[in-house]
Amino acid sequence: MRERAFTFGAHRNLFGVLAEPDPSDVATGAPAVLLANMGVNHRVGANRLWVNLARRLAREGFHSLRFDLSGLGDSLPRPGVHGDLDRAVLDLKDAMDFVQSKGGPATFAVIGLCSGADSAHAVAVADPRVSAVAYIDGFVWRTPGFWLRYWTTRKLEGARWRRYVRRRAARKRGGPKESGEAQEIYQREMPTPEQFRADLKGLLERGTAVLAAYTGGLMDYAYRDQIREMVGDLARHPLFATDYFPRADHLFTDIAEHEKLLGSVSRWMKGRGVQAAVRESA
Amino acid sequence: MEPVSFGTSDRQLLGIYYPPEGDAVRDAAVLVCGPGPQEYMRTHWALRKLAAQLARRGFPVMRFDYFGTGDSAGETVEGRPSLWVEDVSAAARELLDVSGAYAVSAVGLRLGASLAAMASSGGLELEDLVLWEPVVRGATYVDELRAIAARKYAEFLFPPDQSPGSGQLLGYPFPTEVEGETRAVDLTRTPPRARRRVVVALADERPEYIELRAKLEEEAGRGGAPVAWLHQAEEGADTIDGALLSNAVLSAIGTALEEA
Repeated sequence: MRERAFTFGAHRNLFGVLAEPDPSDVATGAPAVLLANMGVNHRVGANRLWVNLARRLAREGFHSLRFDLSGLGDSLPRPGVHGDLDRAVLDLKDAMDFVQSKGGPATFAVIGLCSGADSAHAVAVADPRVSAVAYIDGFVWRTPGFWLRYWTTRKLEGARWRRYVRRRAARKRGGPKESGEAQEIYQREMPTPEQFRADLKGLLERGTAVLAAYTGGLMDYAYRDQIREMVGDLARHPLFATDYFPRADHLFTDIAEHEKLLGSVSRWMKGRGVQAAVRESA
Repeated sequence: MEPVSFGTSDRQLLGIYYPPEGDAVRDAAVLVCGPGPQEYMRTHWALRKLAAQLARRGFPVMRFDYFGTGDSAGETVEGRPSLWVEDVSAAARELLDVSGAYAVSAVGLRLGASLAAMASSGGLELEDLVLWEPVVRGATYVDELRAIAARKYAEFLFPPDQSPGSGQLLGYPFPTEVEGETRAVDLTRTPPRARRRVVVALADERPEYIELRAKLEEEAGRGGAPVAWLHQAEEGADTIDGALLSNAVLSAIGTALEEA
């Protein structure tokens, strides 16, 4: 594989790294992967998640572009006035144009974590070149199943009691701490549950493969099948896949959980859903 | 801003070069040396701002990622201080080449300050060397990172093992050999060298800085580079994170490099 850094985009304000598989490894007809910022972290990703994912996928035959959205990381602001989500969609379209201009694939898998899922979703809905989209700790709302567990089994989980003890001890101890979490800095623009289900239906009917993966670090997500309860019958669609990492925190800080996520995305990219989406868009 | 790829074929490093702006003519280009992996993500924005501000003051500037970090080649587990010291020298050569400047100064943040200092005491010729919140003793630094991890992981349902033998620290692989090399960093034993001046930029006073000060002044007395101390104590700047949001530190570093 090889990696090259570029500035690109209609305004040449975007900065990213294109990873290309060795010509003999290229997965024929496979989409190129787009990885943008998770929150305000730059394109490398928290704990180097996007670099590790891009390199693993390149060894498996997939092109990828990891890049910074306008005004974040090393990318400069985009001229003109736009809402955050509209601007992100324009940036992602610029990224697709750029990959194609470099001789890369004409279809794309957009992978977003946390707020990155919001822009991944928005561009998937807006641009038919997106043949696969992955939301990691993306959209969530509390379902009846969530509340049932919240008031019953959740209170009995040993891990929660152990955390309670650790928190109290840490507060008592004081000492150095990191800066506030990113959610204090930015706000997310999430679709309503009805809007999300309608969008998802449209995407699946269009032939777009969807992965919804969640961690145990997301407060509003309580159990493996909560996503199935959230989206109802759509969960049975052959292009819809889910995964759950109950022991991971939101940013996959533990290196074993980090590896598990890389494996999960890699299996999804090589699996039937993404491959079927590739055939439909071909 | 231009991406630059440099280093050997098995150790390709990514740099970002900022050509000088305006009419000011500067003697030396400025190499920005970032911190270690655990502090990398939180400092990216401040270093981007610093590089852009220095370029606007007329300096050719380059930031780069060490081997096994950021966008540079190498698995995270392969990166270690002894290689990163070599990377600092390779980046300085690259910056001379790209910019056409005759000399290089370095601004290092946290562990990056220590790496630049170690490179200078190993023979890298630097015009000015700015040590920004330097890691004076690697052992203290590793202990602090573990204390931060303990506090952060108190909020996790399943905290990662971060004991010394666990091979990880704050989200990154941290093998025993890397821990050993990091703990061995000691600026009081490898005093930094610069042709013109060593500048130490601090937001707060720590016990280890008092010792560093004594050492640097002793070196200056023996004919080493003169030392300047920049104190940017201001509200909210009493932690590394507060300092990073502070424009005052960035502009004080720029002014110090202009004066030199």
